[in-house]
Amino acid sequence: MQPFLFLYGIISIGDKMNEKYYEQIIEQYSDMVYRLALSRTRNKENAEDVYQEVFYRLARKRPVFESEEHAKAWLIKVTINCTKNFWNKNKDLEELKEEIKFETPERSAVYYAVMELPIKYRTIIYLFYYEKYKISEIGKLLNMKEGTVKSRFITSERTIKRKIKRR
Amino acid sequence: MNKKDYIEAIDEIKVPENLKREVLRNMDKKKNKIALSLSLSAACVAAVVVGIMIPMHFRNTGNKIVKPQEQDIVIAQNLPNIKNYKELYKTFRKLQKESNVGSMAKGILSTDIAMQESATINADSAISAGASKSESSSSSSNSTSNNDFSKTNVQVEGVDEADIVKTDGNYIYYVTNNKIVIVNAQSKNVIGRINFYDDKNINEIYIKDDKLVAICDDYENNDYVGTYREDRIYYGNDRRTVARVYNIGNKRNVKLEREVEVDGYYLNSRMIDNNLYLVTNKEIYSVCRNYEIDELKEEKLLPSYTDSVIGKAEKCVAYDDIYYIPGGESSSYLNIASFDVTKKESARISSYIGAGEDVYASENNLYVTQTKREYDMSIGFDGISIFELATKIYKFKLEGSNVIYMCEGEVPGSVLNQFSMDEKDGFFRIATTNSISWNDEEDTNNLYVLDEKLNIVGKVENLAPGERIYSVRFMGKRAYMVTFVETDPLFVIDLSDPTEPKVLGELKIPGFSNYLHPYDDNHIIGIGEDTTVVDYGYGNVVKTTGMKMALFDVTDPTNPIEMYTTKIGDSGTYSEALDNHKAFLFSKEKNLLAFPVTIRDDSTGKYKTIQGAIVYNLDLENGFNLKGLISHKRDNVIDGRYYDYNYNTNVERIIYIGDELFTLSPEMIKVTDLKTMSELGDIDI
Repeated sequence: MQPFLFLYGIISIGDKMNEKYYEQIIEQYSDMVYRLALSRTRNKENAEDVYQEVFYRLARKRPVFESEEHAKAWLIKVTINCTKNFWNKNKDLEELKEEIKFETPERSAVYYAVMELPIKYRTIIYLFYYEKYKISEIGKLLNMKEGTVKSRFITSERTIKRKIKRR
Repeated sequence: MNKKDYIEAIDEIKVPENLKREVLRNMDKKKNKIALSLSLSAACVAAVVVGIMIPMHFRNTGNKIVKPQEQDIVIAQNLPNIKNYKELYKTFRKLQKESNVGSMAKGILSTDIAMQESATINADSAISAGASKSESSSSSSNSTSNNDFSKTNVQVEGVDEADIVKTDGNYIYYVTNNKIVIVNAQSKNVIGRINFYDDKNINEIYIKDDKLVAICDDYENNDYVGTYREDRIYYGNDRRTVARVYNIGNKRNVKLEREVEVDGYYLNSRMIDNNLYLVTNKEIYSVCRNYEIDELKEEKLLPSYTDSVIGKAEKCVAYDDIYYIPGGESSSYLNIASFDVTKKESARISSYIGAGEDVYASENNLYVTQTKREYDMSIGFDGISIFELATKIYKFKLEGSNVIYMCEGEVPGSVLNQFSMDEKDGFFRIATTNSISWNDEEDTNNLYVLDEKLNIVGKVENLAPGERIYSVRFMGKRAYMVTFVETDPLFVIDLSDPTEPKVLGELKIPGFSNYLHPYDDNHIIGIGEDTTVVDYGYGNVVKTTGMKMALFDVTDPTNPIEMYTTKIGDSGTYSEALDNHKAFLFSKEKNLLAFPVTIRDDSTGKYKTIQGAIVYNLDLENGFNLKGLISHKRDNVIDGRYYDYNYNTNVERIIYIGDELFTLSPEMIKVTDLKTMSELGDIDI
């Protein structure tokens, strides 16, 4: 894990961080942004567009982060903002193209079961299980009250359980 | 199959190498650019409001709220006041210990947004050539007859709700891309803009006479204790809600007159006459659980506000105005701010320790609900959970610019949205769905009638077991409820005796309505989705197959009939009107029904999508008659891309002024003749 320069209070000259700093961020969080974008848009093409847009904004804005948590949270929030329009109200099974092939059928079943959830729900599942955020932290990332996150989380579990049984 | 599989599945997904390299290359290119503050487009707003509000238009149905006949017998209960800092600290400490909140003292900062100067206002000159008239309200341009224009589709007549577009018949005010554009509806020109820069994000607006009220979000730089970064304590979410009052008497010289900023994120608001009521939620992190009282700063624990009428200094809400609602479970404040937008009196702000979700307001009272939940913490994909036990209701009386807490009540189950609630003759009616376990076959639906003190006086319970409420509409002495699991029963419930609500009739049809709108006293429009039940070999699955609209005849309440019905598109078709009533436009007088829609057309075997405003005539003789779809896509290309969503040409709202229909998308307003449906022109904004 590459250390972030700023953690030790080092800021580059003239209040601008140098490229190395942002390159590190890209290296460290590329996969996360892509995975989150994919969870949100459910489509590789759109996820790639969103991925580019998120790091484009990083390049333009050049924020100075105060910690790794801050950088990660910033990237997550921007990714979510960029994907707010990929709203899928429809629970139609056919619409989701199973573009990604996984190594085991169990992985495939569980992944696509999560993908069938509405956007806010699958975002919560991704952030909880994969990024290991706590429910309260997810509430802050998504601007949802903790109670809402909790109940959506539980509803998601219940739905996933049912879907997995059916597959 | 368990979460390990999910994690391993995600592990397999990696960003394509070429994409990452490209992004790294671009970073390098920007090496010499100076960091500018980010100008956020409206799509970038992190303003996901938790309390979803779906106000509805309630025009001319003769169901105006009748004021209670007898003297107001309800006396405000004495809510415990918080007396001082010690008591405040103790209250929060108790709340935080009891909830299983994770330690968030070293929390996550919100998105970095540079603070800029306050919004500046630009007045553009008219786009068309021609003498520039003075755009003051005394201008003699031909105004349309006073009332022949559409208003926001609100739930209760007389209680205005904010929206992204407002009109007074002469001018259109539209919130788009973090600014408000002012358009002269006669000359079809943009005559002004109010820009909101990085410091504020504009959500929605009100207009009343010569005032425009803009509700925005703002971000504060988090303050902290300690000199080292590691010692920073984040007391709570740093979001603030701002109400700005502009004088729009002279459109070319719009003036910012007043700004009131309140701690917390924007939950909801209402406007009655000249009084604005603003409700926000401010969460307090578990600082009281993790730190001792002398390690914390008192003013950081109190909700704060600014009011330009008093001055620029930030003030903390006084202890006299901070209350604790017993039995409250949230470590947060519900802040209610109110003021008269035409006067220079300071705003009244009171804070209640607790939180709110849904808001319903009649002309007399404001009700804020919160769902009480319990869960089983042993969760996982194999776990069993229990949740959604009850809804707490807090009632506040509205007296001019004053908001007074009255009492609280509680009912089993949870509400869907603001339409689940209604007040009539002093009685409060509320419809809920009760989920008591993971097994949704045990869901039940109920309707409760509460008196002025929020005691339950009448109820009907256990309707449609196994189903959930999808939409509710109260119309005077009756309530209409749509529940759904595989088919949609529409229930007609009689409320003429508040102590004895009863189900009069039921209609079972496929599909469901997400939103019900009165056509007249005996007919209701339902807009929702059509469904079919398919067996994939492992049990029945409900598939939505497109949108559907229906006109229900409820002249005989014991026998509701689906009089007319029409389908829109195929599976994947969606409209914002399905969950935001403000996107729904209906006028019985004009025989007009319209809403924005994204239609998925599957008929040729390839997915096609088209987005625009769909317009219908609706009358009792002929039912639904499609007049057309107004699209803002300029090159008329229908993209075959998978569920493409082109933000900038998406029609968001539709309004009418006289016989002209205006469809609004973030970069263009199109004008169409209501009668002939011929295009009259475009306005670039």
